[in-house]
Amino acid sequence: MAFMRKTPYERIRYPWASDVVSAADVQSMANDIDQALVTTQKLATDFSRFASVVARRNSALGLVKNTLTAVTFDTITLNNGANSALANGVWWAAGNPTRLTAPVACLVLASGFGGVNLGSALGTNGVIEVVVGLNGATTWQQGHKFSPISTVTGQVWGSCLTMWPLNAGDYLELKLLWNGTPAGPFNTDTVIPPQLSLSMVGLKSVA
Amino acid sequence: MSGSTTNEGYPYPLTTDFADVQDAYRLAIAIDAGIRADQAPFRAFMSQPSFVCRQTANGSGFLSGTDRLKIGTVDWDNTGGAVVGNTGWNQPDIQPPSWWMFGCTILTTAISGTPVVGDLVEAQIAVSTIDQVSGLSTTTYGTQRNDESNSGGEWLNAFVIKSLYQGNVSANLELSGSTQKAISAGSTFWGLYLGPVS
Repeated sequence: MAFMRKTPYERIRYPWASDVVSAADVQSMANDIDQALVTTQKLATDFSRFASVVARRNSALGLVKNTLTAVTFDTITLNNGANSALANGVWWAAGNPTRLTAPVACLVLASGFGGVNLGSALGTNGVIEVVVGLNGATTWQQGHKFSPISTVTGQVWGSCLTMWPLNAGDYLELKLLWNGTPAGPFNTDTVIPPQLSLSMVGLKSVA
Repeated sequence: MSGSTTNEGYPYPLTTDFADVQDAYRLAIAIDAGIRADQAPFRAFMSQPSFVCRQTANGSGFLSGTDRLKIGTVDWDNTGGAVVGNTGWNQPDIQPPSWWMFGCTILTTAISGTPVVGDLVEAQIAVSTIDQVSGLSTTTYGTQRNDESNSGGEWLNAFVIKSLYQGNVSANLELSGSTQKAISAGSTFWGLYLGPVS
């Protein structure tokens, strides 16, 4: 077998210069070409199935005053991770109903949305907060907090758009909070229910 | 070599050619380049430029005016433009005019006094870009105004899509009030490349 050199990118072996070429040289070259095409096919498959997930809370969820509450999702509109050759795993599972868990290391855009039905007005210092948090901690959360008009009652909503670098197994949760004069609790809105959507927008590394 | 494949044009010897071991080299190099080129769009999309960074200590308090989020940790960056200690992200100079999406969560913390309900609190994403022809710099903003609620700090979430070239982008807090506040540790700033302008 000749002394084989390799191409710069796909590392395809080839015989060089004055080597005597054998059948084994052609075989190794063919195997390397085959592997390069397999890699290309995987890239194409991954590219076409960037995984995403949309989770909602359709039924009313009671929110205790001044308590940041992780939303338990009861409806999964989209959970295509298991269908993705890249992700090869679901984002949401019934055993951890508040979590959207990254099947692989990736970057996601996370759109969080939440509404609260105010049975009575929150008063001057009332607030609604909608945040997305990482791994159950309060150390890294992104979101939006605002003060509704002090006399308003009924449906109020907040939303946020965030981006996260996730390792495989990291999870994001949608959390809601209200505070103000009333004792509460208040329910989440069921007409336009809370929703957390993740869309994979990149990978941390590409082979 | 005097033959080439129908679709990709890979070179190969004909049966009438003099056998040359370098035929294998030329074929391997052509296949290598061809496959790599085929992979390029996938690689570009899956590793498209992006960054996520945070401020890790509370900023200095101020009454009115603007302060910029200071990068204390870079959670993710494959652009080279997010640097600890800087107060903004720098677009790589070699990148042609491009569309980007930027976002931030600006948290505020009271530094002195009791925050006054209704004082102006605004998050800004300031995008500065250079005109390729004139060289002039212009700055535009994406903002969210969310005035003081005196409820333990505000949370402002702003995002914007802009085209830019040799740009600098910062996440800012603007205040107009009577008590000192600052950008809080934990405030986050991110950006995602969307594609070339043309």
